[in-house]
Amino acid sequence: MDHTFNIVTRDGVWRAGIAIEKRLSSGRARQSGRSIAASDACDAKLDETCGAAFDVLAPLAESVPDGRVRAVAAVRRVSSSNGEEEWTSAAMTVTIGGISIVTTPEHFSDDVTWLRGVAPPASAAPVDYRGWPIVWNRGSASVLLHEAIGHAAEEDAQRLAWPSWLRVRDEPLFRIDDAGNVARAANLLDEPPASYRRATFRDVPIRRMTRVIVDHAGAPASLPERHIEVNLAGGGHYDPLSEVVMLTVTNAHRVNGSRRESLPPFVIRESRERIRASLGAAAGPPVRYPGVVCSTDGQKLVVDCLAPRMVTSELG
Amino acid sequence: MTERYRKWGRVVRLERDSLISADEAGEAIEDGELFTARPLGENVDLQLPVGDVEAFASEVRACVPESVELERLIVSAGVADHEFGSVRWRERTARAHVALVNRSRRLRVTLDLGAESCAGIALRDVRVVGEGLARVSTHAAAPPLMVIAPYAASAMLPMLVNVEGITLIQSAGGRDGKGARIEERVISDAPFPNWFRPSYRVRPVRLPFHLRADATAAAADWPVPRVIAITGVRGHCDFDVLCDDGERVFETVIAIDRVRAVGPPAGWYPHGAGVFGSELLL
Repeated sequence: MDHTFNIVTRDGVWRAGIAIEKRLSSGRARQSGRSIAASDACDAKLDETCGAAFDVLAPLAESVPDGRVRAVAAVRRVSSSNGEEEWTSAAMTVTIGGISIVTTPEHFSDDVTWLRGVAPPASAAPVDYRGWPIVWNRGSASVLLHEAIGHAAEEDAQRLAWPSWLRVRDEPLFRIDDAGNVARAANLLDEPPASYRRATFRDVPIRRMTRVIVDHAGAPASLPERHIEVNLAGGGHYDPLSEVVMLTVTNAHRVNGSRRESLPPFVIRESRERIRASLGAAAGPPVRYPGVVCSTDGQKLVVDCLAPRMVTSELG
Repeated sequence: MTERYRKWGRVVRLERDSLISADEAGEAIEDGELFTARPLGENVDLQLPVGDVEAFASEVRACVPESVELERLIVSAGVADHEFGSVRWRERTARAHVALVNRSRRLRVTLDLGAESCAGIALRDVRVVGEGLARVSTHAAAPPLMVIAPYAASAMLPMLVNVEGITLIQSAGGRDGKGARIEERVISDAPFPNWFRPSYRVRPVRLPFHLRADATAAAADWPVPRVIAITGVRGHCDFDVLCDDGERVFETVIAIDRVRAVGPPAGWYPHGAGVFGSELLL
């Protein structure tokens, strides 16, 4: 669809509360058929809105004396025959003690307080997650399924017979996507994300997830007494060729009855099919996971993720 | 000390069947610890032949065998004027990112090719890798003697810095991200002498430019099995590769702890700040 995309982005990096990088980026892309004419023209109104959004982030970034913060505010306007819409996003990646979360101004205080309490143990002994059920807490199952279901859907992977109680939807909050189409929710178990997104004015819009909501209806709710509890993932990857998901877990505990042991970071590497077969239980409503910065073809975008507490049986 | 870098650029890129032309001008300032970048708000007056990119993409598609999937193809050509302090210089670049897949064997090979224009990018590597992927039939043990083709060697080279039998050299040519002329010198461990700046938006980093392995053989026509592509990186010097022994193409794993001989440079590739590929005899 022919459309015009305007964007202004401000981002900055703070180390120990001191700004070390600041960037302003602006541009416009006019798409006609398969041709896109892009330039770094700056829209004054978007620049003003973006500046106001960034001004909210900066003092929060300065308030972290014990870590590194990257803050990004972006305002974009898309115009097409479907209408015109402005959309503002703001996110902060906070790293303390080598562990990162992605947060927003409204969740910043709670997320940073939690992050300060989860420094990994000094032990570097490798963790073998195989043979242990995993309880995915704090919405972290959304990251696993973002990879195993969301990215697979983006790549038109073969559909799998996921548990009948599982629900995975992409629900954008904007009305018009970055390619001028009317946005709509998509059932990621059956179809790719319906919305197109782009990171900058120089990029091609591609089908991407925006807000992944994992939910359940009538799932088994049993919690194994002996399990690994995952709270935070540091990064994930899905390879469409091998259909293997790789997830780096940065905060987890091994729980065995009353014994609870903090685990160093470890990597889960499993096929999509094995993940499907392991999904065993879910309980409670979807809770917000503290953010995913997702990269496809070099375009990094924040994807909101929510999931209930979920259980996978022994992987591997 | 404040350092100011400016760039005016125009690039045309073919990606996912869309043709993007992008003009931009921006500046980066480093003032002590603080790095800032912003658009200059100036028009870009540089000429670029748009047709080259589409024509080159068609040539790439034409040399991929039917049984091999062209998973990704991104072709770009650009021209940029750079300014650092009182030094001003111009660069022309063309780049191609090609990902070829043999789906039945779940094998992917990515190629990053580059030159000053699309016409300068050799398609030989795409043909060799495409045909190799089409012919691969089995797994086998690594042969005792083998030669690594220049393209595959170029991707491995930055990892071979302390491997016996190889001396890495930065080749002279052009200017770095701070306007300094790039001069020839032996490369060992970091810090490297020159600054690489792939965009005005990112802080420059020290990298070796136009890296090559010092040739130890005048010609390289060793009649041994040939490693034609990397399909995976297992560790620092351990690779999953495709090997062609003349009769068949097979998957194998190689660990490089010694290089027996190095042929002359046989092509430039855009890995990092540039690498020349040479045949390496293992």
